Amino acid sequence: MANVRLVGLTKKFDGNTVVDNVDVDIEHGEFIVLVGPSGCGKSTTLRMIAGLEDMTEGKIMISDRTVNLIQPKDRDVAMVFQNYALYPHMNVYKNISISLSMRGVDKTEIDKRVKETAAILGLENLLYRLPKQLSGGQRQRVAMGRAIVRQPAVFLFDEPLSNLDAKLRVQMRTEIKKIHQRVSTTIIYVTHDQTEAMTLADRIVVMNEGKIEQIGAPQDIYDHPKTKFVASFIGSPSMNFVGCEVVKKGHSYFIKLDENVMIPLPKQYHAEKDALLDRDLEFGFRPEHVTEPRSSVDRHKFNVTVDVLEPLGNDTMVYFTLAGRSCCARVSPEYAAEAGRGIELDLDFAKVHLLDGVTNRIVPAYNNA
Amino acid sequence: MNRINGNVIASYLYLVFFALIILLPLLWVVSTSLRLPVESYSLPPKWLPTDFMWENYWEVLFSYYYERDGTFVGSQASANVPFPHLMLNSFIVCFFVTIGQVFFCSFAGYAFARLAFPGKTALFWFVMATMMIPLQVTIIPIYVLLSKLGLTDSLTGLILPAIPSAFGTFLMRQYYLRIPSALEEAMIMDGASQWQVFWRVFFPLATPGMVVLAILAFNYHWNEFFRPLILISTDTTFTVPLGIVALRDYKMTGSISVVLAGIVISMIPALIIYLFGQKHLVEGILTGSVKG
Amino acid sequence: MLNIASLKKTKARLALLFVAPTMLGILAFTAGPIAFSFILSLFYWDVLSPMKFAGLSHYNYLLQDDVAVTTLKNTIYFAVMVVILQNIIGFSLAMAVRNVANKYFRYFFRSVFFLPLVMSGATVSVFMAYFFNTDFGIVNYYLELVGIGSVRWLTSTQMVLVTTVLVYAWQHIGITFILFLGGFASIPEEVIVAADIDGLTGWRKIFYIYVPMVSPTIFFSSVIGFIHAVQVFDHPYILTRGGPGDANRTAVMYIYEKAFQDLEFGYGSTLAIILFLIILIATILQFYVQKKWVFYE
Repeated sequence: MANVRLVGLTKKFDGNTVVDNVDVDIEHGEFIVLVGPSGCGKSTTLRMIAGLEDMTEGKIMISDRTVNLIQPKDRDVAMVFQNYALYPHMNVYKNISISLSMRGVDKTEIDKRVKETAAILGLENLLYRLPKQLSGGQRQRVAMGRAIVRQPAVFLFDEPLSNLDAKLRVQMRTEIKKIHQRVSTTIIYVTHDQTEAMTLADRIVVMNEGKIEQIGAPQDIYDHPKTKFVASFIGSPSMNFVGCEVVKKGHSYFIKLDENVMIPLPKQYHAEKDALLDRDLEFGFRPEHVTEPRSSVDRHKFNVTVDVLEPLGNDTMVYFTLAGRSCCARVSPEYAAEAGRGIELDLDFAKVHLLDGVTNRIVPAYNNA
Repeated sequence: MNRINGNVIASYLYLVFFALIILLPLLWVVSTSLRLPVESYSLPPKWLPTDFMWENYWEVLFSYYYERDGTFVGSQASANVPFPHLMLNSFIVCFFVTIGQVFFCSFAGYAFARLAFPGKTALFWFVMATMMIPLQVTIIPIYVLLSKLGLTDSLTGLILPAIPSAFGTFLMRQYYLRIPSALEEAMIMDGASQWQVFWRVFFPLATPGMVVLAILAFNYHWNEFFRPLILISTDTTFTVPLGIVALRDYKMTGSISVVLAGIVISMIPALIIYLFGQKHLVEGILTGSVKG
Repeated sequence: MLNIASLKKTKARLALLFVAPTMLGILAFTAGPIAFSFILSLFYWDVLSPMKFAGLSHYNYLLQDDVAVTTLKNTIYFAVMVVILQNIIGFSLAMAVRNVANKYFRYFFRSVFFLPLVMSGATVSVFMAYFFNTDFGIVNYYLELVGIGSVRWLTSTQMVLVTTVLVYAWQHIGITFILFLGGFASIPEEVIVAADIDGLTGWRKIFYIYVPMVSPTIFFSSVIGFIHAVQVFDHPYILTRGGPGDANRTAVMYIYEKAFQDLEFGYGSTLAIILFLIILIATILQFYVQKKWVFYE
């Protein structure tokens, strides 16, 4: 079974810890996306799995075999590079087949597998073209073909879509997903684009400064981020954060943003409400959870002044200032007022988060019905 | 507007003037090589060919071997040089030097560009430093060395010392540096050995550099005079430029048409390279002038 | 850790294999010889009899050897004239080509100026000697025609080095031309527009804008031209064998004669070392000044 285990994986470079004690268990056939800003160690992690880079400490296991000391070519992994790294002087057929011919696979077998691969990727008519005669999307496909043809245990993708234009990127995203469903090989995929991570992954590994921030299914990470970093990195536009404190007035608890804005403490935090008092907290909510007024119990309406409007077509982003912080809301285009005017907004209580200002971790919520 | 036109016209006149200074002597060389030897010095000069004495060319090429009437005299030698021999010699020298430089400079250039090894930086600076040492300064020890090896007066003695080239190594290194390193990693992932990485990807992709190097090496050694003058003494081992000068000295001022015919023949390979490889030649000469 | 380490080892081994032939070759045919030249310069040696230590007596003798001093003077004089002439012609031709809008004409002129570079200095000198012949030469024919009268290009001690400069410059003009083309191309367009707005025209524009802006090119082409020119041999050797007298004898020619005609290998090497030092100084100068003396970046 082609599972991959990273145990205490660490990479130090010139005294800097680039990858810091990373542990991940990847199941056979899983599509794992490593996501994070540039310099977070995701590419280094991938390159260590490939064997292109040494690890300082830790262990990498592929198919229950420790591969620390095994050469890249013997690790049974294939890699798709950021700039495709197609061999410019070889035609598509040669590009796809060279790994097999260097491994001594016989000619008829090579031919069969190249044709199969080409069929999967729709490259049948391009086999005798040179890379420079191909479009960006076609090159991308050849790069994948080069990996697929080897039938490896694991595919490694290093930001494979970052050189494509936006439209093609979306299209190739779907295509990669389809290929995964078809070949069902384990995929480890690196990207800095959180949308890509969300749409492709079975599980996402969010990395920052060499460390894993959170591992989980896309929806889970979106709904229940564990740290401020994850909360703001996943989701676009990112989550709004406003400094706050929890106060008690009589028997009711409130989230106090400033003197003017008090919001009743949402239900999911009631279990631990006394522990929240007198703490340095931040109040977090996603733009899509602040909307035009809707009728529902668990909602809180408040008035703000519009700073800037950003129409997206299907929705309009409204930027406003709340307790001194710039925030963003997503409202329906019909509702959007104009800049400088007051507007009534409506916050979905069930989806808000409280963040511990000291540890930068999200305060665990309970009772998430 | 007037001034601009004036500038443009002046510029054209100036350029045409210099173009004529370059081209007219060459035109005269070609025209006169086709003239009767006795008319070769006729003044006023005739720039265009007046008659077509292909015999001049026959004399350059074959009079060493044949009498005018076609009798074979072997290498008994009349007052002439064995021109076909010299052409062949020059071709042999140029061919092996070029091939040798292309290969060995490719190897060394690749190592300096792409491989890590102990002492690399120091060795590279050493190569760069030797690039500025002119041949004229080292010719005495080279001559001594070659005569100890018994290689003077032989083509091998011309070829062998010309193959290791600091400049060629530098040039090829520049080309290897331009090739993205992801290709190496892709090859490694595809299961290639270090040799395969070089031989199947980097070497073929450095062809443009090799073309530049080959053109420069060929052209340089085709025209080379100083080294053969010192190293070669037998006329059948001469290279073409030595032959031209020897021919000039045989003929004195008597029959310059024949000498010029020899010059025209000797320029043909260089002109072919010039026609097809001018771009590479410019690039190479510029790289060459930039670094010694 | 082992896998990259072993990769590194195979890389280093391959590298060694790759650089070894060239490095050995350079050692044998360039680095070794320059060291051996230096050693030879301290010895008497005529190849036939054993070497005899000479100390610095060759260097002492050199200062009293009128021919050596003359050849060095000739060489420097030759190189300086070549550099000045090539800079002026290269600069002006590149300026003029900028006024040529048609790209085919530009290509034509470039090709023409580059043509002599692919020829052999030896063959060029052979036919140029016919051209500059005092009695039958075409150059003198036209000079007499316009009333200047005939010049003893190759037979007068005053003219012969100048003639060699002309022949050499004729052959090498393409290099300076291309260097200046590059120099002009790197002048920012705004600077020229600004000069136009300030009303600079003609010579003033050339001297206040173009010359300073391409000063790195001027410096560069001068040093490079100098380094190449002090190595000249083919042209003076073939044109006049160094004559008349020593008027056309250059340093390399003297090295050649001393070593390979008089078999004075020790003294020949001494001369070679002096030439090497001249080139070394020029190279070092270029290396350091080039970094500092850049007007635009």
